[in-house]
Amino acid sequence: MSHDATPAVPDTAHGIASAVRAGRLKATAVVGAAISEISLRDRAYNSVTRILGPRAIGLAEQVDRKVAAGEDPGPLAGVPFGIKDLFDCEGETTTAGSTVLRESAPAPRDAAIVERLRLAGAIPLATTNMDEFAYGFATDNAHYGITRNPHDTTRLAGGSSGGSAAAVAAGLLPLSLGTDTNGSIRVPASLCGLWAIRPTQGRLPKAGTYPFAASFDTVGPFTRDLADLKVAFDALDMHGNREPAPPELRVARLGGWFAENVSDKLESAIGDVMAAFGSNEIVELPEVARARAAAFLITAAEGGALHLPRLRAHASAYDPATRDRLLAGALLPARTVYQAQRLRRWFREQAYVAFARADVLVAPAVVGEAPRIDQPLIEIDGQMVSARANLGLYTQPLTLTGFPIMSVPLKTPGLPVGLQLMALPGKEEALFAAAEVLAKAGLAVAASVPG
Amino acid sequence: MTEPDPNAISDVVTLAELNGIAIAEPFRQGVAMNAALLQRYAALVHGLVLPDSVEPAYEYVP
Repeated sequence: MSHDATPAVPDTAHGIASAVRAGRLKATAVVGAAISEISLRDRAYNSVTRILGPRAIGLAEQVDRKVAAGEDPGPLAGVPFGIKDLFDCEGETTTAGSTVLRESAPAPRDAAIVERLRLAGAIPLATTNMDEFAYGFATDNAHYGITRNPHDTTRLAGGSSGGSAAAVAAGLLPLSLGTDTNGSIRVPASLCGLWAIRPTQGRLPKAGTYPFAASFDTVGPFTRDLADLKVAFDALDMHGNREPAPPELRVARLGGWFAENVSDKLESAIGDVMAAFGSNEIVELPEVARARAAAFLITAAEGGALHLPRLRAHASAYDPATRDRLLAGALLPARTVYQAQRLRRWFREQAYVAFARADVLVAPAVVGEAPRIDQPLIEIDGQMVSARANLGLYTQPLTLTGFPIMSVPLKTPGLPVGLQLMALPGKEEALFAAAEVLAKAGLAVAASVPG
Repeated sequence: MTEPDPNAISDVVTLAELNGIAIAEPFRQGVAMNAALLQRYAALVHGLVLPDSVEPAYEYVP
């Protein structure tokens, strides 16, 4: 290697930013390396749908000019990131994983959260694959193909933000953005072994984000590193008021629904987690099956109503699985949606009660490891059911609360599994404090990709 | 999901027509299967009796 060779690109976002800010590494070199990696390796995963090369290089050059001029290039200087293809990206058409939007006009500006990362010096580099219109937990897209889990390419990455999760898990990008309506950040983060957060609903702006079920949709980041998740969240939450974590965290496990159907491996890991917190406290939420049903119904109704005009004209252009679910949702009567919305308010009140004795609640994010692509089923109550529709077994009911939830990659043998940490609204700092405990105890770490 | 019986498909087509929605023949079975699933969830939601004072969460603030 020659003495003037470009230094190796660090694995972490904060490592990249530190090197770029110090002038040890050019942002253009980081972007060039990321483009090469994606071009060489993503055929195995199909996580990326478009590389935004010319714009990314232009933005990287701006970062390098700032560094050369002694200006502050931002806390995420030169960090390339992936964008679920439902966030607007200036000059690009937002497809939301569909073909029916493929002829839409290019976005005139970036989505708000893309812009916030860009203002922090990060570089939007690629759009990522997703279930069509975010309706699914599999990232199995009839138009753009299936995204494969980097830890085992015969298995699902999870969805609907599976492209964003897989690109980070594979080491193609250090950071990506996704959306979570019923678990679309938490499920793929867990199956791909990543840190991720669904912040308090409404905390981060959704401007420029193509909706799915608008009253549930929430945006958030994926990373392989806990410190990176914190830096990214800080950048995304640029004007947020932070409530500090309590000095002594009270942690409880969610029992009942959230203790059933859990794989042995995950159960053992959750036991270790509770021991690390020195807690054997268990709390239960009531009527979880009905809460999940309400989330299903509201999602189907909102998604169906949103798409109905387009379905009337172009039904055959939809992914069949998405189309049939949306059309069925459009037929739901108002009284059912009304009751589901009443149950939503009631369940949220019950969730507040559950926090009377805890600052953080612990629950599994998935029932077990990623399902096989050729057998996309999971076992629930002794029955093999569709993974695409049911991977959100533990995430979907908690969606109803709107509370912030972090997805934590558990250190376990074999394929990754994840945990949900939930706090009260606005108390994301408690989640980061709890995550730090688990990371320091060696119980939570992003899974490394074999080979 | 189990396959819907012909009556269920007919019911869904009728419901759709009442709502001004024409469901093309090739899509009817899939829509009926999903409608049946949603009906089961609807039964769960309607099965919980809530006080009249519980308002819907349209203006949602967690």
